[in-house]
Amino acid sequence: MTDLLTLTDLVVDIPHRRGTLRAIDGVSLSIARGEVLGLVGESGAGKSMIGNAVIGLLARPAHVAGGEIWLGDRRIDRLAPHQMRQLRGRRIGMIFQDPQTSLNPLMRIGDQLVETIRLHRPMPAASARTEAIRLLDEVGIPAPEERMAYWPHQFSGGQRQRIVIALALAGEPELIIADEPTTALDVSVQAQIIRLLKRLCADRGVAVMLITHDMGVIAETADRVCVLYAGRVAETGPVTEVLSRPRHPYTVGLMDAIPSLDPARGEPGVATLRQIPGAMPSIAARPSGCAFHPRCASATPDCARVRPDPRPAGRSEVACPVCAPTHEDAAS
Amino acid sequence: MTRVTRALDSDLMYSFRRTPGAMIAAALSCALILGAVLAPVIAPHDPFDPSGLSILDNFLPPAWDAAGDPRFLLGTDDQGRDLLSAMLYGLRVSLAVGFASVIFALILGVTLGLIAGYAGGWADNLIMRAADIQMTFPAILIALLLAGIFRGTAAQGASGAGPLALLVFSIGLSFWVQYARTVRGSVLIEANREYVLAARLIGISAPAILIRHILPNVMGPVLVIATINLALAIIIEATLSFLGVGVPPGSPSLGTLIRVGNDYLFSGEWWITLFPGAVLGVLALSVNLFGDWLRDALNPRLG
Amino acid sequence: MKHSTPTTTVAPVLSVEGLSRDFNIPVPFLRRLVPGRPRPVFRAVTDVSFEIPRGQTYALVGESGSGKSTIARMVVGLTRPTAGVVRIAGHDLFAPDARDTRQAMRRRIQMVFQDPQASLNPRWRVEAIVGEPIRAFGLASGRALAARVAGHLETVGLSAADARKYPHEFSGGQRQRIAIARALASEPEFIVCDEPTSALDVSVQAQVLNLLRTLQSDLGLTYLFISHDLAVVRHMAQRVGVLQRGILVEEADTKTFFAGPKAEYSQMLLSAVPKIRKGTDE
Repeated sequence: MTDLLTLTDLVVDIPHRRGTLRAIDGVSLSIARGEVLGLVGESGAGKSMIGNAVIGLLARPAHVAGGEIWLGDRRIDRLAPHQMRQLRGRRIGMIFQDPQTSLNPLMRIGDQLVETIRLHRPMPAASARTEAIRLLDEVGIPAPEERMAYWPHQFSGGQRQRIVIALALAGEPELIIADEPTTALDVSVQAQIIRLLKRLCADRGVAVMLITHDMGVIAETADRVCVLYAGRVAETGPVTEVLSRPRHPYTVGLMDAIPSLDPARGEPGVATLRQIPGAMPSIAARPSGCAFHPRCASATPDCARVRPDPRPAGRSEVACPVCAPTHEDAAS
Repeated sequence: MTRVTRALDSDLMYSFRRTPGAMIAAALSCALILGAVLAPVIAPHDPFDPSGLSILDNFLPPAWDAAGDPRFLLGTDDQGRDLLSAMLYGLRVSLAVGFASVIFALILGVTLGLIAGYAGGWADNLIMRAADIQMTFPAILIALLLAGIFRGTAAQGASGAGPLALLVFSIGLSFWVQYARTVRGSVLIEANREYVLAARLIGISAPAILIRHILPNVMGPVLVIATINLALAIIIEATLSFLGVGVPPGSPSLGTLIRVGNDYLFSGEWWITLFPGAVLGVLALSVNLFGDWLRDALNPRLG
Repeated sequence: MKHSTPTTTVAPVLSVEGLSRDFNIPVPFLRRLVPGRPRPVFRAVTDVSFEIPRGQTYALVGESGSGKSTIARMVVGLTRPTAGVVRIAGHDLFAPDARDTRQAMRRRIQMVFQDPQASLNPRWRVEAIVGEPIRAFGLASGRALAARVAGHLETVGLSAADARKYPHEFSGGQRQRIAIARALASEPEFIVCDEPTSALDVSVQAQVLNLLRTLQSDLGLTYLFISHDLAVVRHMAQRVGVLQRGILVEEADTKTFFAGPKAEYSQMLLSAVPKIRKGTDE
């Protein structure tokens, strides 16, 4: 399996008037072609910042201050703005949370598609139009030929997100960064969009970085998952492994805290949820050592001093020296 | 942390200290305001004391000119008044009229904006249509019109603070629309926020919600407009005074001084117009620059 | 109970009968002048009836536009129904003669909103926010008021010293705790929770849900719980009502509902919820 996107030791800094805040602190991950990597974390974990770093759209003054980003055999974290612009849309497609703001409200969706297609792949207008209709059909818009002349406001939220996906596909990208693509949608629509993303990924062999806070979406969509906590990777592994056998105390706590429809999780209306005490630390006040140690039940004095790096545990990699070995023993 | 150290430590102060233009503008505005406030103390002469005036001293050029008199640093006007002192007192009048009309416009506009935004319906329609109509005329035209009307109706026996109040009223009335529109827009947003619903839920009355909950949250943009309008109000006052419908001749403002000087500009007495004109320009520019900075600093999307 | 008769048991804390609400659809000004055309209306809620016994949680579930928030606002008296009756402990909330008893009723109803960012006035200190209902209902003043505020803050897991701070100094979960403290301040018996955790992170959501549960059992509170999240509803409620385009399509005890919903729409909703653990598929 060749990795399409590789991040090694990515560091994102935000200069601040009283010093520099380290938003992303040494994150390494990779996505293979045809794979969906779920990047999951609560607010303040830095998940969107990683996506923005890859597409070179970090909001100033945040910037990549260390590490490398490779797309195939090309290093892309040092590219000039105009080179990055060529890459975006062409090799990397983007889907954002709110389909409302991703579409130009003053342009018919057909024109938007044709324009985007021809921007990335020079071709005659007529062929671009055929291609646009094909794309709309592919993302599941009924009667695509007729809908080419519609305005964005004439579509429902779910359909609009489908069109945004069609736009992201227009340049035939190898990698799609989807930042909370279903958060603004209703549950029933969310399920359809998840299915669509999975199908496209399989059909086209596109790699997808799926950024979300919703473990349910990860469970339904991703092949592998990367759990972030306070700008670092807490646990990475195959979805089945991480969700059914979480090892890092944060992942364990997170999984227990999610209300579930599973009858095994207690009687309806009776069982109490397990909770993690405290909250994600703000970027400005991250604890030393393992950032999770103040909330962790199994923390040792060492946890406050030593910053753990992810290391293999079963089929996953876990950044916890206290918990990973014991779980590994139990698993094997 | 005390209130003062916290204020000095705020992001606004940080931005202020990092923007030399804003600092210069603020320093100039403060110096001019201070000069106006302290006019009776620092002015070398009392320009309104007839016993101190001598017609023999009229049209003296500035002190550095060969024909100048060291007693009158910036020269004298047609009546032999010390120009520096007259300007300090004129600045007082200009600033007083400017501040008063901005405050008047602010109170009127904010009140109407709050009512329009929160009450909606016919009150909103009435207020906003009146605002629309007024917006089609330039502010100076309205002020001129109102000042003319008031002057005409109140000409007989008007003295003292009366004409000044009328002037403030006319300038203020030409400015309220901007406040009303801004406040109404903010109210429409704030009134649907959940903290207002929480207050309605426990039966807090509409006026109390408007004043205690919504008003503090809409004042930011209002203060920015007020700062920028201050410069405009001072210029309008000067313009009206220049046209002769402004402050009464007994208490000359900068605009009055410029008009007086204008009569002698072509006979070589340039200083009577130039100095008040320069002060007016510097004042309007620095207040305006400060207002621009404030607008940008409070609106992160522009910064 | 003043009006209780020997034959009836204690009135339910909330009872809603035939509740409907129409909204006018905005029409361009000139077209409004055309005579003979009725103003078009949008019926957000149609003939909804349910009741909640004391100490229980009733969940209203629905997707966006289902009318669940409109019902929440009618039940607390913020929006007047087009038709139907809302009774709080047997008293008609919108009765014309209820003006003087309105304030007394208001004290018994409170609401926790979705977005703790927007539900706390950013310019007010926590003590003023939590103290506002106490002052509005004249429950205490001066030192006694400060003591009450401190007490409520401690009840929701904050400290008395937090009273001096401003909302922006707190995290999202803590802000929702402040909002809950404010809801408790008028000593209500009925609280409407409108998506109280949908703006919060998962680990914080569990804290807030558990807090709401603890408060319910400690203070004997009754909840109307509005949510789009069936897993949360399963955890919180004893009874569930499913709303689709303003119509209550199904109503059942939580156990019965999650064992097998009857309405097609409920089944679709339930099947659309992502399943997190797919059992032992190794």
